[in-house]
Amino acid sequence: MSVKTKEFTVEVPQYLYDESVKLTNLGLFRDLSDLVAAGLRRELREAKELVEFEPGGWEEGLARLRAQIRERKAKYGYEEPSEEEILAELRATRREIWKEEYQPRYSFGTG
Amino acid sequence: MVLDSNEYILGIPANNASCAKLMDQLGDLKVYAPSMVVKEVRRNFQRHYELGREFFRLISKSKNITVLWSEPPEELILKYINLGFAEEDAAIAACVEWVGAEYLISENRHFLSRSEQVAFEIVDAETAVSLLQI
Repeated sequence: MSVKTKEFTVEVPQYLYDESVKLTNLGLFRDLSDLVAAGLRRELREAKELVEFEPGGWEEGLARLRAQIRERKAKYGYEEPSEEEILAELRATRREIWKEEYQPRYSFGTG
Repeated sequence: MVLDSNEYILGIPANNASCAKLMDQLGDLKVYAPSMVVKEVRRNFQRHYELGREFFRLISKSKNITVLWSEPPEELILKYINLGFAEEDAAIAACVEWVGAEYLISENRHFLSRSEQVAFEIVDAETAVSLLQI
């Protein structure tokens, strides 16, 4: 049984289009529509998870997350890195996310 | 105010007393969270505790925290790059100016050393706790 489809026009940054064509031509997706549908499915899954939850207070959410962290630490015997190590790791993560997700959106981005 | 990712990473598990105190009182403050900061913390919490999604839920559903899903204007980022900020830090500083926040709270020395160049205050958690009389 075939799924009913809907045709619509989307506007995306040039770099996203170029990457999409490249990966589609490599055979990772049947065509551009297949890639767009895969991306939409992933984004909608995450968005649905969020809307299923009512807005809550910070305090109770923080207490719950702290309890979960304590549980994980106890369960896996996790040894906390030093503050310096944490800050260094965060700098590397920020650089990584910037290069992957944000820099290509700006004209000064060098990739 | 805008909090840098290190405040959440050090404050939620309570690795740093001032950051933890700031987290305890965050529900009473008006906070903006740049999407890049949310992604950094989510990635870190996933890597260390497998709790990335739980952090994401906490921050995106808290009534007093506004997540900035849109990116700041390019000219604002360029302004901070020209002041000597690294590109990725310039994006965070641009967010602070963009939303008109008074404070950027960070333990990042690169930020703290440039506090005299910007229109908002850049302070660490210890100073913030004292300023806000938490």
